[in-house]
Amino acid sequence: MALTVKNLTKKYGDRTVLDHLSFEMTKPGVYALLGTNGAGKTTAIRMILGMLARDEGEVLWNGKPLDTATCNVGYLAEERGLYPKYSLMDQLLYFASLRGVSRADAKQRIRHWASRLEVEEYLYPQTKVSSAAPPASRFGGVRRVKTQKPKLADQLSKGNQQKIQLMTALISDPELIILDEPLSGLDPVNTDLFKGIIRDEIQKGKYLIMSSHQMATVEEFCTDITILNRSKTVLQGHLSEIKKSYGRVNLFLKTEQEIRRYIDASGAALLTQKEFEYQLKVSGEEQANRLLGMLISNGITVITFDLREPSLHEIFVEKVGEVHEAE
Amino acid sequence: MKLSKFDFTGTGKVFRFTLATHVKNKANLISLIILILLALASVPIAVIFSGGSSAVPVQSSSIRAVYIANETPFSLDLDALSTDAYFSNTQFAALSAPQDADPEPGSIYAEIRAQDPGYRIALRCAPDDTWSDSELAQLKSALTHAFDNARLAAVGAQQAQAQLVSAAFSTELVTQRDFLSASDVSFDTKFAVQYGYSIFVMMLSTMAASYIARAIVEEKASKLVELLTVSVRPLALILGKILAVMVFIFGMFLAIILAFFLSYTVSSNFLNVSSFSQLLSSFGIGSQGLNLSPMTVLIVLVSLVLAYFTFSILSGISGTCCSSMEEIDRAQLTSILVIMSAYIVSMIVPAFESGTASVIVSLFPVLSVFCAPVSYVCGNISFALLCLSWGIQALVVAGLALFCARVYNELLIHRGSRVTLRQLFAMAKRPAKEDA
Repeated sequence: MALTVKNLTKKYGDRTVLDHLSFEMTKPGVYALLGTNGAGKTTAIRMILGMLARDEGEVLWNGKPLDTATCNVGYLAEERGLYPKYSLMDQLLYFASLRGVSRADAKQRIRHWASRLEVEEYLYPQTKVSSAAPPASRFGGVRRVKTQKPKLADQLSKGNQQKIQLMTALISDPELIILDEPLSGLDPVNTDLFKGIIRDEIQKGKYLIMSSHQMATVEEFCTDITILNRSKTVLQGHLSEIKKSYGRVNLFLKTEQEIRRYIDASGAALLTQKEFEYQLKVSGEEQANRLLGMLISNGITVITFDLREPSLHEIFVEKVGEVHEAE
Repeated sequence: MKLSKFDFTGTGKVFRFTLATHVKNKANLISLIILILLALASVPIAVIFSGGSSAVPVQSSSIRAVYIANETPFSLDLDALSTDAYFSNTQFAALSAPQDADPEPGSIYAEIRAQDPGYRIALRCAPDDTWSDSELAQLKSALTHAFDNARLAAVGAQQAQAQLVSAAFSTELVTQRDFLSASDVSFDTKFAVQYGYSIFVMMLSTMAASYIARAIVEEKASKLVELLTVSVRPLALILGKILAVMVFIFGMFLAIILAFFLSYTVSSNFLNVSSFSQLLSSFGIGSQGLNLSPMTVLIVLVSLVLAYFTFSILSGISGTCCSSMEEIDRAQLTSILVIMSAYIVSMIVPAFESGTASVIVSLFPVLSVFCAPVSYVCGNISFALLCLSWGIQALVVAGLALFCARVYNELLIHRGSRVTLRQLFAMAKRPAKEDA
């Protein structure tokens, strides 16, 4: 299976909102669409899904135009919503039926995902048994059985609504999953829950396209990325190769003595300092090793010497910044 | 994703869900129950307020007795006079000779005598009695009829022959112009039928506009559109909604009509419901002169469905121009203004009493949904013209649907201020690009 996006272009009058976006997913994994606000990520996703007409380009799934008949797609939109006043179960069954899932299968899958996402209490009637006895009761009180109705969407917290929305995206067990800002607005516990589900889907061999501003999350999951800025692709490729191309330029040092003068002497740039912990930007391994040699020869005790490639966050800021400076 | 805009896969699922949500909606249910209860109560309440009662009233004369001095050789059948329901409480008796004295209060002397030429019937009342002209006219008519029958019997005519000769007839004096332009249906009848039908279409259209615009804006405001359009094409989405709302509204009207007939049937066993037909007659509504038949029901249904589709697609487009529930009133206003304008014109048209005006309004889009079936039922246009009107309406519906297909996709995704008419036409004018 393979997803191919070729020269996707969208214009509104003279304004180009997406300019010849192309990428390919030849094996399961997560592809990241990154970009500043208004860069064209959501437009690209909408065009991939066929919601927006294309001025140019095509989207192929296994060499054929992307079609629900040939590709089972799950989508978590950036603008998330549910019918506020309708039962959650009815909504999930409706969305499942639209994706071609039979009612019996849908019920089974809803049960599975409700348990996985810890939202069973909102979907199924809950029976509460109260054993509190009235003090004057001769027979020791009556046990009251109270059935709590399933909740409506507008009675759920934002995080729980997001869980239901993720269920709608995954209920058809899709081959291609498109997640637009999946973790925005989630608390750390629910973020971990969502990350666990994304990991599971990757392990199942699914194709995922993810748009996010959370670079750490993207780094955690994504193998390939495209960075968009003002409708244009500014960086694209395999994440580890991109990082390699930048070299190991981030140096973290922890010592027992003050080393400021040795840093200045080595030519490395000091980014931050907290007591004897230093974040440095070096030109490469040679400069970092020279600094280390200098420290050892001068009797400085080095506790941590960590030389790393730049983070995705840094690459993103640098690339987007370059474009802004060039303009 | 399906490639064609006109892929209607999923319409049935949208239809079922939308219908279920409308039926389960508490506000809709309460409204329906209230309307059904009102329909059930309408007949008894109307009968009671129109002076009806449990006993069927028999209107009869208050004349206690009529004494007839018949000086002609023809013998009157006094028993036959008493069989007239109107005179069931009146006693008819023969006098041997005319009386000079005044009759007793409540009684009348009738004298029938020969005069040159012909005969004379004279009625004489007590000085203090004040009989109405209509009551005296009825008595005079009954005596004249009895005297005619007596004369016919005298020459050997059978009862059937007598009835044939004395059958009532009317005369009318009209100009040639009026005679040539005369219609079988009176102005009152045309106005009443147009009034009733227009109100029905207006109710149907405004309800459709309201329900459909609300259903669409709700999905847009709830940010569900993107999720839905992954699985269903926008046209299938709107068609599913339009059909569901149509079934709901038509079902609601059907339930109200059935409740009304149930009320009428049950009430007729206990109350005098003839006041209803009298009420309708007073408005000029009766089956005489109208092209009423089972076919009429079919014609009305087809016309209502076309009216429904016209206004529901219009309100669908205007609803999609909005992004939030706050803008829904303005969206509905557009559709309701169109509906009200057409309604008002349809109410004015019968006043012209012109065949040309009937043809024009029956063929003019939007107006025709109000006027064409009424014009046909009242005999102002032929069935062929009605079919032409339907054809034009169907073309309008198709045109609106095509316009909808061009703009709906973009409108659904649109966020921000309400789309203006100019922006809407600009969207439609954009060259058709490859749709995903």
